[in-house]
Amino acid sequence: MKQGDIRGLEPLVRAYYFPAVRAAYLITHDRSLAEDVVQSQFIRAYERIDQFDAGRPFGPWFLRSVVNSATTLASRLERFVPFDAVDPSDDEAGWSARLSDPGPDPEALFARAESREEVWQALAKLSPEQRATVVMHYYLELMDDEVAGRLGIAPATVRWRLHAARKRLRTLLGGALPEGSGKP
Amino acid sequence: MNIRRHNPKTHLGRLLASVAEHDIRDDHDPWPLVAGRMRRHEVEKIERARQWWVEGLKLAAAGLVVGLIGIVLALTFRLATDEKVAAPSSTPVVMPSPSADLPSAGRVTTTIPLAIEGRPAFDDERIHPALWIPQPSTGSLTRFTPSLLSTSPIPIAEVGAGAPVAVATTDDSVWIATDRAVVQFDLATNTIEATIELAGTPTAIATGLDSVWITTRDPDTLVRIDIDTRAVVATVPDVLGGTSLVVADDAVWVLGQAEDTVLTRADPASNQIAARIALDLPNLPGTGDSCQTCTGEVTTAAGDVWVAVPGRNALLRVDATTNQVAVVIPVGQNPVSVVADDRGVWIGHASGDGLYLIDPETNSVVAVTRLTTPQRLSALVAHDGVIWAASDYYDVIVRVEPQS
Repeated sequence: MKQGDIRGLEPLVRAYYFPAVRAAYLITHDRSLAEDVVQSQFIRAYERIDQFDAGRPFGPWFLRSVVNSATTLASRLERFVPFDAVDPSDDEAGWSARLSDPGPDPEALFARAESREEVWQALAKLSPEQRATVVMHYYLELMDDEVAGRLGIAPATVRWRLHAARKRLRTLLGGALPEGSGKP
Repeated sequence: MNIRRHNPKTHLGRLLASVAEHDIRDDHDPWPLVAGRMRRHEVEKIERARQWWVEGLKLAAAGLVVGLIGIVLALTFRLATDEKVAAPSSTPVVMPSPSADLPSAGRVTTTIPLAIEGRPAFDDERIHPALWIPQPSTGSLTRFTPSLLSTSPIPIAEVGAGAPVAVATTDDSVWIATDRAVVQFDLATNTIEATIELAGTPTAIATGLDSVWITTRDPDTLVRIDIDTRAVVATVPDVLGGTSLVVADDAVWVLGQAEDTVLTRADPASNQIAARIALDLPNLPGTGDSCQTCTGEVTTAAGDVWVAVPGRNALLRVDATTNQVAVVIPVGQNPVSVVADDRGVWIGHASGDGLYLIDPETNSVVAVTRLTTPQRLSALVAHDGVIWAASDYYDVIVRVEPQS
């Protein structure tokens, strides 16, 4: 690809397209937007490939640009389109009561479509920055200092965002999120 | 990080993977989608270039006509002058990398464990000057008095003023940019004197020209507050992605990091943007990859503007007269903090490359101070001949005194 051959992009698209769309989707909460972000970042990667160090793996470099772009986009859109599609009268206490006691077995919990919806709705209640931090830490399993470096914030701020996000998710999901989810 | 076969270890990670994999299934070949998008992009790019050329030719033709009229008028009214104006150079001078055997610029005399989350600022009006440090995660402002080795937290968020994200000082006040307002903390009474609500979220703050200057996002602006009336006297729109700013006599310089890295010059006389300078130059040192999202800093020294660009491992000297990058100075890996004093320009790195001193006379690194503990020098403050280097990674601040 460094020689400017578009076909060089093909194996990279096949390898990283869906993992990248999933990460972007968790942040933007919109499949079309997530795909748009990933396609744009592939074009951007192709145009700026000269800035990429060929001695390093493409995946993390690319995924970081996707997460950053998705977070920026989600922050902009949040001003206009509320992610929270839940009825405003449905307060957090009601949520918590309805979502509590999801079952004793965590493996069974996320096997249920209903639980996925609960996680999805709870995730939507976080800010885009919190969502990005949660996705990078829990889904992509980056360490705090890696998340900090990639989001351009202090590690202490990462820890604070994760703490606040966990607290909020725990409230929203009731018993679904055990205390031990704090560290991978 | 394995992103192809994803099997997170935590419960929450598995829940997220379950959601994502349920909704986004890899049941089709993505290549035709991306290839089609790239083809459309290429076509649009060619069309934009064509339009650019057409518009450029129109402008050039118009410019030629105006130029000819100007020459005719000048000759007619004998306005020709002998003054020679140098054409600005568009190619910056790239300095060689610093040598490996540079002398030390200072020695660490004190190391204080202290939570560091933002760039501190000194006040000078007290018998014991203090360093003020924003702590967004606790919603407080920490006052550290070096001469007494004392610290005291001041809860700002508790009184409803928001969490402090940046600070700057004037003679009698500490001005605190919180996540939703600007707060004036009176040094004489140790009380909050005023809270000024802004339309956007503050990101950085500086003082100068009898004003407090704040960059905000959502919307991206530069806001000017009169320090006497505490009123917002101007809001400069489209100052993109402000992360650091510095106030000079005739300009306010804002380093913006959004999609691209841009230095914006605002004119304090008109409160309008006077210039935008792109800093993503080709052929900078570094790959741009190692710390792409680290935010750099900007300062002024020797009449020019100095910008630390983290991912490109460079300090840029911007000529304040021509508004162009004049010199590229290779420094260590990921320079993130910069400050100037009468010895020169100091650079702190996120990578453990220590504290560099650059001489503005020669545009070269003349000394390096290796620090044993702090690897990420997130903020530098120059005060009374001493450099204070703070690390948000190790939560310490060290005092670096000049080497005798």
